[in-house]
Amino acid sequence: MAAATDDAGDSNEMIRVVSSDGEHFEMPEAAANLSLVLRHMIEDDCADAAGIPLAVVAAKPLAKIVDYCTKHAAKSSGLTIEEAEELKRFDAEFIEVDTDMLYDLLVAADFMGVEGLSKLAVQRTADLIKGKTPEQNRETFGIVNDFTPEEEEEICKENEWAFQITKPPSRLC
Amino acid sequence: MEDVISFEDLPTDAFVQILLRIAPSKRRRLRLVCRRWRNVIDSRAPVRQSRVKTLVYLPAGTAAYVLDDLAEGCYRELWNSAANPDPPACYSRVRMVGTCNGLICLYDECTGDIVLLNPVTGETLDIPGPPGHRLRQQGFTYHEATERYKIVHLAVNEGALEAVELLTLGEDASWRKMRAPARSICSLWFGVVSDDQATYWITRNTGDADMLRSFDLTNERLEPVRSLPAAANKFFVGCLRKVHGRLCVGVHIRDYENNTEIDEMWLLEREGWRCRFYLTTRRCMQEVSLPPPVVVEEEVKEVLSETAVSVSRPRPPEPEKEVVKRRLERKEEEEASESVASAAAEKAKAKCGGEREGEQKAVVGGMEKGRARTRTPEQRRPKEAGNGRTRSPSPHGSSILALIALLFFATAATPPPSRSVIFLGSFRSPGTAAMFADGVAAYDAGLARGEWVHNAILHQLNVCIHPGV
Repeated sequence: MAAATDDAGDSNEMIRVVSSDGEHFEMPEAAANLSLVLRHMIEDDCADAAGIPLAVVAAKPLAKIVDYCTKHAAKSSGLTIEEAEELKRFDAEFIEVDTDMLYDLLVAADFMGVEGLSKLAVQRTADLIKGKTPEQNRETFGIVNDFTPEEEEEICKENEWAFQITKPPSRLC
Repeated sequence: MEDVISFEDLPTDAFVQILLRIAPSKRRRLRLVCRRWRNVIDSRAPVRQSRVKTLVYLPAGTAAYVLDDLAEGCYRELWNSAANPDPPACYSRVRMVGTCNGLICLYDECTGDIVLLNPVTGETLDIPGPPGHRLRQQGFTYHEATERYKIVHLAVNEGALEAVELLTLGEDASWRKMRAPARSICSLWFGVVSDDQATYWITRNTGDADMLRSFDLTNERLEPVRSLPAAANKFFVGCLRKVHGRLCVGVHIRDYENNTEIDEMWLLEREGWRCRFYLTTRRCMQEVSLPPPVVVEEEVKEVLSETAVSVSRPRPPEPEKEVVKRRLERKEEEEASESVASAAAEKAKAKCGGEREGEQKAVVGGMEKGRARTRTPEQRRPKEAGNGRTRSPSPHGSSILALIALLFFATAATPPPSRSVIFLGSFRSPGTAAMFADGVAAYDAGLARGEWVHNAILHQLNVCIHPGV
């Protein structure tokens, strides 16, 4: 914990950000630095009292992202095993969101350049997609099936050949 | 904003990241969700078009099957000598040497000739057999390091290996002979297996344990022997095969009390020999003299896949005598399929050794567009033409061409296999032949597919497949 306090102590300054719908948020500079976009703004001295405007990030996902960054910044270095575990648990809970929020997080993390969160959201989405039939995926993600029945049949045919088990490398020893 | 968005609007880069975290086998199914998903998958996260097709070539040339769908167990007979008007005796002399990258290497025991055929294009190429020897055991393989196809012949005299003879396609088309050390006893009936580095067989010296011997294709020399799994020396070696690209030794155990035979399949893995699965076979009271199937591992690479993907639709099999002529005519007529084949041929040709070797590129290189169209069969060298019009009524010619035609039929509709695995067969006793539709599949899915194989083709047998120990 000592290391974490030190980290936070290095950058006492709070960074203000403004969501697309005008809400203001604050986070420690160390947290803001996790976002590539915010870090560049800070480095360029664009972080003033009015706050950095984030034109495409709404308040709801921004609140989550501030949460995420604050948590991760506080535990960025010198983690003990328990702390790493705790961070993992935090991530797991953090990403338990509905698909709307997941979408917002994907887009916002991508836009703001928060690498860890991007990865987390990408993995979560992949996990959601994985186990579902195409129809279930359409339902889950609000997608309209725009194939004609003929096209669909064609793809099904192609997929017949999907029966495949990955081949191990063919070298002998 | 949140109300109107959906995942369809997700930035493509982020979407690609997501797709790449999904296994290819599952990603493929996602192509069905919507056009955008399909397009993104195809353009940014393509699923390798690896398709499984298995060719079963029954020994003595009695029949060939293609297994279309292993999961469903549907298969088609490609060719059957019984349906052919020519005397079946001649077919029994055509043996399969091996397959590699979709090319099939056959050996005609009547003439001593080797015939290489490309089932996708129907091209054939005659290759002279090794001089002074009846071709007994041989391997056909693609040598990755030199990008050449090689045929290895093990010249055996009274059980002892005299020499290893090697023919490299695309070179001077002659057999080169490498003398073997004295008293190299070999047991070739277990099988000869080739991969892209070496050819392997089992060697047995009186009183000693069976060992694995290999001929290295890069250095062109015999390698020191290595040991077989311990079980092989305790019981009997049943066969030597290739499974999933690895060497596999089948160990045959007879359980007289339970009237059962067990075949353990030991794979040579990185850590050494490991029993991956085994078969149990109830012995029939009367021995069934069914020749065991030869099952090949097809390894068609992208080159051939591309060809086949776009080759025109297959046509129904024709009467045998028509096949040859029509095939040659078709070659002139079918602009479409030909031009498609040509692209792949260019690549395949490069593999097979480029321009120099006039004759030998016929099979692979002959797929080349210009050449195939401008040359009439008569313009080819006489021998090669023997498989074409001039010798078409001969049983040998037509049998092979029948096979070609039918294989073409089978492979053109759907892309040919990038891999298919079937490997068993040729067990020591007749009646205990067995094969796996797919080694892994059989291993994973167990009985279903084993029983299917049993029902569909080997109905005389009662074979069960179990996971390894």
